[in-house]
Amino acid sequence: MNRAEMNEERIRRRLREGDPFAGETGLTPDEIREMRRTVLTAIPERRHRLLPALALAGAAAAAVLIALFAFRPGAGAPPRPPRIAAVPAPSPEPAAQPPVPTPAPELRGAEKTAVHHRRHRRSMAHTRNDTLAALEPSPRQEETAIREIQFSTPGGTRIIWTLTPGKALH
Amino acid sequence: MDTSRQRTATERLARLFDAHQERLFRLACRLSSDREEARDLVQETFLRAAGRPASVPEGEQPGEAWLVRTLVNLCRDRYRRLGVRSRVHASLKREEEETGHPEDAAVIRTTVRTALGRLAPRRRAAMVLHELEGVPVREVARLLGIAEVTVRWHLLAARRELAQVLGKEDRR
Repeated sequence: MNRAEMNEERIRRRLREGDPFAGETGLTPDEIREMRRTVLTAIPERRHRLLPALALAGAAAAAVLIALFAFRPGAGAPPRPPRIAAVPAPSPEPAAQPPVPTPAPELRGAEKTAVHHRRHRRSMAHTRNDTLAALEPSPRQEETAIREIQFSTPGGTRIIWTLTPGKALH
Repeated sequence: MDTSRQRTATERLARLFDAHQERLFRLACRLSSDREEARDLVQETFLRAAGRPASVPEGEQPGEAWLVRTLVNLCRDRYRRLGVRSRVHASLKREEEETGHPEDAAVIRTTVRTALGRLAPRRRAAMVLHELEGVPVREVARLLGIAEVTVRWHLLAARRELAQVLGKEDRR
């Protein structure tokens, strides 16, 4: 029998003659029962087996997220230097005012005029000295002045440091 | 909720098993080299369904087609892994030497099994379903999840390959 002679019908007949299932009787009832039990009890077992796999997948996803967050672009750049501004705080003591000259008792004639000029010169000198003294801060005033340092972090938080001279950091 | 879902899946799988185990075993016998292998294939097919109940489509016919496709895929995996061709051929030679009567029914069966074993699993499945089980081409296409024209092409190629193998065996 060669290739040309082997037509479709003969192949079909030959296949049916030698059908691999021809001598089989199928699965026995015991085999069917056993297989059925194996298959039906496989559902919960398989589901339990999924739990560790799910846990592993979750851990892997968390690791990836952490890695992405840690190595995101710009994360390694150095932080911007904080902006610092020093502002002198308003002094709690009111600024010294020049003393108001008290009115002198009234005199008569030339004596009155001379006394007036003397007093006026003395008064003017006294006033000038008082004014200069008032404008320059006294050593005590410098010691008691409160200073504030304000700066903001790169994140936007504004920080104010109040420096009180009387208190020292230990 | 989970318990009821699981019970539903179990009932559905039980229905599938009762309805199709016989037919699947018959097909597995024709697609594999021996009875034990056929039994393993059927069990593995249903275990796949048990492992992924949601992947088995609803309905009688789609469910049956899914099982057949899974069985054929399992055959294909074994075919690749174990080198079925050479194993079946060796088995045939051994039986021939033992019996010495080429016309015995067992030898004919082995010859046909050898010839079928040389076909690729999907082609073999198409041939078995159409020629031995009498399933129409359209139905074979539905069961295997391929186009009708592909089934016809597989049948044509399978006949050509079978003619070569059976012709050689006849000349011995």
